[in-house]
Amino acid sequence: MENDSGQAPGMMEEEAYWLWLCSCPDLYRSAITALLRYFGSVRDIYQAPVSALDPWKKTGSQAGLKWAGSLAAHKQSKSPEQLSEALKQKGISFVSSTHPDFPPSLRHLPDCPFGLFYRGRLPDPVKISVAVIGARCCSNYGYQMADLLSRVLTEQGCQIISGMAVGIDGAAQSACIKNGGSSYAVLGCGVDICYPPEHTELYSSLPAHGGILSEYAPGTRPIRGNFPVRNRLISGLADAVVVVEAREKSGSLITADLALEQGKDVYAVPGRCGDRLSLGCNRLIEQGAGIILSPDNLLENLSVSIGLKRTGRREKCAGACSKAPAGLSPEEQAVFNVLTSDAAGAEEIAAKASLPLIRTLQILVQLQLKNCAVELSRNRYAGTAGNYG
Amino acid sequence: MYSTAASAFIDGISSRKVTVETDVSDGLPMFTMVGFLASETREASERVRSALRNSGVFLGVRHITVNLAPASQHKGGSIFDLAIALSVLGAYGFFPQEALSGILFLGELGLNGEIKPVRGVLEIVSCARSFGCDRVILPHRNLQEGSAIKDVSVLGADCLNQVIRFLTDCAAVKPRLDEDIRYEPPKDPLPPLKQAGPTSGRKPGKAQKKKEPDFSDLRGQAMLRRAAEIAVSGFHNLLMIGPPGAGKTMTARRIASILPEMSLEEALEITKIHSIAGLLPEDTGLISSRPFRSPHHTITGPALCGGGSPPHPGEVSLASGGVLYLDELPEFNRTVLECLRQPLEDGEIHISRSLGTFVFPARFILVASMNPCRCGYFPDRTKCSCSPAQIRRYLSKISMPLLDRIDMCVEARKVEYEELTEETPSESSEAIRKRVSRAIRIQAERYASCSWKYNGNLPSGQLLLYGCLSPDSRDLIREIYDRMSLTARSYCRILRVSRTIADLDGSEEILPGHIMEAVSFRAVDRKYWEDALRKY
Repeated sequence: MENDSGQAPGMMEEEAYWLWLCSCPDLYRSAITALLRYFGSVRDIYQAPVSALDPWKKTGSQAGLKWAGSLAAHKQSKSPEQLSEALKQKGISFVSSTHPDFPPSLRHLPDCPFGLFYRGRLPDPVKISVAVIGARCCSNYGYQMADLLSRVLTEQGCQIISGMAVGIDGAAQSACIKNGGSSYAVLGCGVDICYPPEHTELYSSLPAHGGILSEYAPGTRPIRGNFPVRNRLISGLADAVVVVEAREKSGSLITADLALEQGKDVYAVPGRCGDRLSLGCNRLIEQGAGIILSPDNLLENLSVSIGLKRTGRREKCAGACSKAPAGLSPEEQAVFNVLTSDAAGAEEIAAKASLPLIRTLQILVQLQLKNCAVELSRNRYAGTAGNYG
Repeated sequence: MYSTAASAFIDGISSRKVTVETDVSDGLPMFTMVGFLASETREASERVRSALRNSGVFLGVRHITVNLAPASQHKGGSIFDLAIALSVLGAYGFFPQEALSGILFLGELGLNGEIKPVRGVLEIVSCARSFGCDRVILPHRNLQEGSAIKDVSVLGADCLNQVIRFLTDCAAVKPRLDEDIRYEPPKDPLPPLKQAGPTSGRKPGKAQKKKEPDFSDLRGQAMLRRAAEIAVSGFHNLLMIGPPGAGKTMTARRIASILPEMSLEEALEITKIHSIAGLLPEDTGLISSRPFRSPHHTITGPALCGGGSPPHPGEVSLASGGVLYLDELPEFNRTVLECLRQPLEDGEIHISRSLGTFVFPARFILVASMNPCRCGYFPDRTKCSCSPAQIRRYLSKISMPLLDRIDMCVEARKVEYEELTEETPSESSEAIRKRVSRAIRIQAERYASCSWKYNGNLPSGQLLLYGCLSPDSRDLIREIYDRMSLTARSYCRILRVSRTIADLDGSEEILPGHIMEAVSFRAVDRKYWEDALRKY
């Protein structure tokens, strides 16, 4: 509703009715569709007397009873003006699907939401958007790949769309923000709720560096069933979907399927054969998803498929293999060569590098200070993505 | 007639003098005990009467009143029996008052006149002088313990008859016998009261021959070994995190074998506590090895910190000077764990009851072990499928203020088959202990004039004074502070641990290598968990 000025008064009024309707708790898409079919327009729904809802109350179905009851209560208790004032105070904006600002890429979804609540901005329809998604329980490899791919895409001016979940989603969005890009999170709860709570930091920085979007009214709790539903918006907003790590049964695969239905390209980061965390990704590749051999390879594919214009000069790199940084002492080099993207214990590293344990510990700290190693949990170390591609 | 005898009892952790007063008068034949007594103390009348009769003393029918002064102080225990019996004899005029003065009597009586061992002897004997007594008569089985104190003469008795004969010999009087009191000494010759030899008490008790667990039977686990060595050398608290079966408990059990030797004062203090708690084996003098306590996770607050009425030392006090090992830390009741905060900070625990506040020592090394999550395998996501919420719930059982007081953290990992079957034995505890002792000696010299003895207790205000950072180290710690976003608290802990590593190395200055090693063992904080949860 930022662009109220210049809009026709009728439009503003209808927008307010949409806000009112979309703010009603327990009222889902299917119910709104039925109401629209019955009453004709959103204004008529608002202006109809409470008694007009009786037919639904009498159908006897549990869900019908629930939403009809809550809509009746909503009618009596809330006015569009009150709701709009409350939203403004919380710093939340609303856009209905009839509004010109509504993301055009969502419009042609068969199950396009009737409105979106958001904090920050809506994705820029001109810029290319890429969804980077994956498992919540990810390996360090997945975490680092998400971080790397998101960083490279951000450098190329892409917007990163994801679901703000722990694991891959969070890694991708944090990396995007850290590199000055804009990232958009689509939540399965109200935009005023930080879910998952680990991501308070990300949640509070997203509005300034992109936005937080949800089709659910503010105050909606994170209900299990809402999350797969919001996945269609993630794929819908994106021009291409990158799946970093996914188990065989994963929400990310739902998003990938939806993306294919919506005619979007799907790319997957391959995992090792037999690695359960990557089984979903490997399956996607088997089914014809694009394989990501390196960040460069992904950019190349994207420039062909969705016309990504590549900016800046990136060194070509055959694969996502670690490259030794300059300026390491021979001992540091020896330890660094042993590090992989998976966490390894200090003793294991010491044995592989054939160095005494205490010396290895000291070198590992030096490597951390030089950004060549990370300590993933106490005394478990991995090489950093900083040295990939 | 009236007579008194001196005795003492343990109130909390300190001893208090009690004067046993007895009055014998005409009246109904009764044995009345007064003076705010617990029931086991009140029952002394029956024990004393039978013990006297079975020792050959026949008391005339009189009204006996025994008062344990000061009467306002609540008294419990059976330690006064001997003093009561002798004071009754004195009141009957059996021997003059002078025979009893200047002697502290401790011991419980059996019905046959036998003198049984009691608790807390060491603490009481150490205060005997201040009670105005230069001689202590105590149960023979407590003789070794009591004779660790050298400024009083300590005598051990097996039965009441020995004491009666000793007192009559000393006072050089013939016991007065009349219609009120008759005495038939036993026919068999009585051994005299035993006096401990000049070196007794100071020597360890019966050498414990049973084989203690040794670090040489622990295969691999170089990280855990090193962490244990550093923790013991500087009295740092240590947390071991790792999957089940990684050897956390095995390592912890071996920590006892590398604890440094005790000084005499430490040994005295530790023995006192164990004696008060009734854990000192009979016929032992000072405890020779530092305590290692590993309470089960079902422990209650009073059992951990001390409690009851009157307060009894808890595990933290029993572990004082040694190691308190808490296996499966998150399984402990949270409120019980919170009780550890104050003792970890102050080195002592204050227990306040309506009777008063008692202060027990609690200067222990806390060694704790835990799994990183419910199934134990986090962050190994190929094995662990716990949800972040489950992991957070598991970890939230330990509060951050408690984790804040743990200086070091080390990861335990699964032992590989090759390490298990390695032919060459691992380093023995004795070798590690040599290094530990050297580091402890260096600290003892450095902190000779200070109120603390180990790096682990070094106050943060004194860190820079005793830290001796080399210029390189100064730059390094600054860089680490910024790059690893340390908190002030974790910075101090890293410096303390670096100091210990430098001491182990025999180095006056803290060198960059010492700091880097300390950083590898740095303690966990909230950020650590949150980062791990976000990444995996």
